[in-house]
Amino acid sequence: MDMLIANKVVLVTGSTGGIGMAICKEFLEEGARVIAIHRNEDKYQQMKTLITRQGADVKNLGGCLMDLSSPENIKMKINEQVKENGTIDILVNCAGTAIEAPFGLLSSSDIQSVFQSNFFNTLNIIREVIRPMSKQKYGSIINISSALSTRFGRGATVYASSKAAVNRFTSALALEVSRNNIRVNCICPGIVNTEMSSNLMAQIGDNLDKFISMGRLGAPREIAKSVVFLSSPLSSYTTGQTLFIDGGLL
Amino acid sequence: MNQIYENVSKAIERSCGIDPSEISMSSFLFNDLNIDSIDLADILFELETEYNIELSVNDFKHFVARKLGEETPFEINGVITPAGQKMLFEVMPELPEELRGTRITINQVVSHFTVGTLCRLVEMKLAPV
Repeated sequence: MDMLIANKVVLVTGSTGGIGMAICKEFLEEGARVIAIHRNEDKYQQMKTLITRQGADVKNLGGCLMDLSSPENIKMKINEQVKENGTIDILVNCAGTAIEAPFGLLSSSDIQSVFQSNFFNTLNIIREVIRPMSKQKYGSIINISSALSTRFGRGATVYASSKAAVNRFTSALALEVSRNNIRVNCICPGIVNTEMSSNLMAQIGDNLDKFISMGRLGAPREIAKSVVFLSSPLSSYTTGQTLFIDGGLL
Repeated sequence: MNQIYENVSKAIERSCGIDPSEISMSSFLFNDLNIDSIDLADILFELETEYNIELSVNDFKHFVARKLGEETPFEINGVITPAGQKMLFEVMPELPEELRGTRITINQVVSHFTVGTLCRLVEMKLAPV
């Protein structure tokens, strides 16, 4: 099926993580031009090598070193990307941080850093990207949230609440920017087979059936497929929504 | 300025569907034309595209602050200083006289933007620094 996103310019934050990498690969397979936003050149090169080995054609992949905690740096880098590529059609916010610890043991800086990474950085980059998208009267923004945004969250209170903020921001922003044909949606993965979930997977062990009705972990590619769908004109009437992809978390 | 006014009117028409015959230089954006802050962002984006510049509602603040010089603050915690007010009333004669000498915040100033204010914002941005 043609997802109608060939040659679209796609920015992906958190591109070197498990889900981010799968998202980049999926967009490349659909013929999009992907700009992998990252904060570590070595990790970006590793990601490029890895998806090449997995069969991706990386001729349409470019890297962009960006400090997402700096509004000034974001502004400068987004302007550069707009100049270089002429536009930005799709933004996928996949960068994030999780700290697993009882709330009472967290420091103020732990709390700040989780909200900074998961919420404020997301808002900062979206604000800059909305400008070119509004001018071209087209755009799609996907925020990667988490199943913890609405359920569970014991031992991950700050992470869960920062993701809940992302969900609500998504639905409110969608109302503001739809007039300019910009759609904003959110995806909440369940337990996905990535480095970020390794602690959780170790705790669950062989008891997957007790936690996930489908009895298995999600694959990053299964998240990426939905990201591409929600980014593409095939979902042109969908905005402000939160899609849970969790294999039926129990 | 006539050309800028034409383009500002067109931007308002395109963003908000307001007939240019209802727009004048002295129309207040919020009170007369019923424009909201989201409309205003859209109008600024239209003008940015037209003139290839970057516009912000805070540009008037930077302009007045520059005129005042580094020694004199324009605002403290969002409230405009007496010196800032004096300069602001020169730059924005559309501000209601009854505001003079009262506690004026930056947001209050934006609520008194007219079509003429937008024209001046564009003119300021186009002028060589």
